[in-house]
Amino acid sequence: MQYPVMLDKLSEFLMVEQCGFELYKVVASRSTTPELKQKYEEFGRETAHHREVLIRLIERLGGDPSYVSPPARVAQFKAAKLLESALAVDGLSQAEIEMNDLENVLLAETKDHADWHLLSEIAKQMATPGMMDKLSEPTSQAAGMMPSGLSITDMQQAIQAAVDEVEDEEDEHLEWARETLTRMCLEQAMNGPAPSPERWQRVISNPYTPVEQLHPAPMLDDPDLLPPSEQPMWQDSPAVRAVRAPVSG
Amino acid sequence: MAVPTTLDPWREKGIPLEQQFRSWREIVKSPYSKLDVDAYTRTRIILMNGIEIEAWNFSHQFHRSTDNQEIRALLARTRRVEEQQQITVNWLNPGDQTIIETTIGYEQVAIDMTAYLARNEPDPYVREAFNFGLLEDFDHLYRYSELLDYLEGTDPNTIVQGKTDIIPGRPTQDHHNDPEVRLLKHYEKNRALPLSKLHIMTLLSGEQQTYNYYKNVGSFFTDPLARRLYAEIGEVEEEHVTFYGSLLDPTETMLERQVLHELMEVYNYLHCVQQEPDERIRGIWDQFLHMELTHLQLWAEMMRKYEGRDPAELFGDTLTVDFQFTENKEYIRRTLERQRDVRELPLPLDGGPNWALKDQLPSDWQSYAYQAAVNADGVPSEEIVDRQRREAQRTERPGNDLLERARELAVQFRGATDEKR
Repeated sequence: MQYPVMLDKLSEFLMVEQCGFELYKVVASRSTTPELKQKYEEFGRETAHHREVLIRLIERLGGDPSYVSPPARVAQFKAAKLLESALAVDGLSQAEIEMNDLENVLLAETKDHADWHLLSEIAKQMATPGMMDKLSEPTSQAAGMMPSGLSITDMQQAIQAAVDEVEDEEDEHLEWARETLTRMCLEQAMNGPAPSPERWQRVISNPYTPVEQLHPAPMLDDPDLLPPSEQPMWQDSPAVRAVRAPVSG
Repeated sequence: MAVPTTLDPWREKGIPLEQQFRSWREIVKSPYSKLDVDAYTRTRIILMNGIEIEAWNFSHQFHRSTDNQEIRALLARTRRVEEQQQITVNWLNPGDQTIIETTIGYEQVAIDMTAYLARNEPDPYVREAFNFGLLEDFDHLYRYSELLDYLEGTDPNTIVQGKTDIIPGRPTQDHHNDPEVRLLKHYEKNRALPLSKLHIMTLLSGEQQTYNYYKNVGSFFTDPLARRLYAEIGEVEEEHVTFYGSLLDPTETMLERQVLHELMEVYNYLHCVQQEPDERIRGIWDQFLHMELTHLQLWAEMMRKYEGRDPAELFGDTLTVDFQFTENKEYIRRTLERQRDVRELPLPLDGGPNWALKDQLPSDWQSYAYQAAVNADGVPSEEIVDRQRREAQRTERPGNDLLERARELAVQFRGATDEKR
């Protein structure tokens, strides 16, 4: 047991809960689907509670809950990128925006669930026969760095108590996000309604919208002044270009 | 049309980065003579200064957004070179070239660059965006020409050398829009041609530098009308920076944009080398082209390392450059005939038009309110015309005939605009 690693991970897990709470606030505020909105609000409240559980646990283990570990900073950066995806959804239908939000919840909950699973495994290993004695030896790094007055048994019990308090809700969050996303996407794929194929053409310059539709007096091709472009305005996508590129040598 | 020049920007040998820092004497070179410089040598200098400023500026934005030390270190190194290049380029302008004379050069850049890019832009939507901005910069050239005549008695043709017409375009008083109206659709980064991206980034850099210049030098004047005119046209340049900037795909990564910037620099230095008649200055363009090739290749390597993408797949194996500063008078006249009365509408989320003729604008067009606010107690770009009309009979100066004809048109267009309000 590496005590500093434990504190770094707990800082990261706390950040994940904080970012999850923020994610739920955002997606709840923009969802127009009552089922989703209600679940986001409920899970958001539970996530806020998980945040409190982790703060208590860090304090119980003698750590500083305001400490932001390097892995916590990376976790926060990743979580922010999930939320940032909302800055690139123009052109999506409302249903697609909702699916993007739900997918972000699934990704966030997958990470969150993995964090609590790890904590559960740590608690189990600490309780393994013989492990307590080993960790409690004066030469153990864990024992050497832990605050005085905190035994390995105290530590194991605190972690296990936190896991017990949260685990079922984390299972529910992940399961719900996975099943709901599958169900809703399946419903859309099988029964629609299909979003308008023109939805993205309103925000992206494209070859399917004639310029005459957008402009009352476009400059037309003129062999002297405005020769027609030798290339179409769009090329193949990067994947197609890469696959179809001639093999050299 | 120039013969296109093609090179492999990912393999063409450049100057090693460690050999790119120069002494003060190498950085600051003798300026050109404003009496015999070719008009398009001056425009190339103005454009490349703007491109270096944008490269420097973006590099700062990037470095403030990452804590990857390898990337920050390369940004710091290439940025310092860009900064030295910018000094060299901008310091080629001579000290005896007045602010307004330089301003005429800036507008000539905007006009002949935008027109050429529009004529060669493969995306019809982007092309119309260019045409729209073109007629505004075209009008700015006329308004500043009046200011040059009024304050300095100089014929603006000494700057543009007959290569660019000086007549009113879409009246500047109509360029003031509700900020949201200026937002355009953006290109799709996966499908758009590299050429479109290069055109947009080049034009954006030029417009941004024009904005920077007007916003810095406008306060150097003591004449109140000159101060107001720079404020008015400077704000239109802000609209142009917003306008062209909105064409960029916002999902491009910082590394992708960094490579695009370097490629844009290679593209532009290459046409400078190709077109420059002044041997001394061509040597500078050639040296800087080879510095930029190294920058591009170093950043390409970063993209491969951190994004797993080959820039050649993204931007093409070869770079073909056919841009040149050249006369576009006939194209601009034709565009003016067709599009002087075109105005912009907010991004049509319902699939409607993005532009309309002014007599078909809805009565609640957002820009009416904005124009009513900013034009409430006079319009500097019209005041300079009135001032000149009053003064015109007193002194005979070179260029009077040209400006008098332009003035008649300005008053005629103003009447048509005011009638519609």
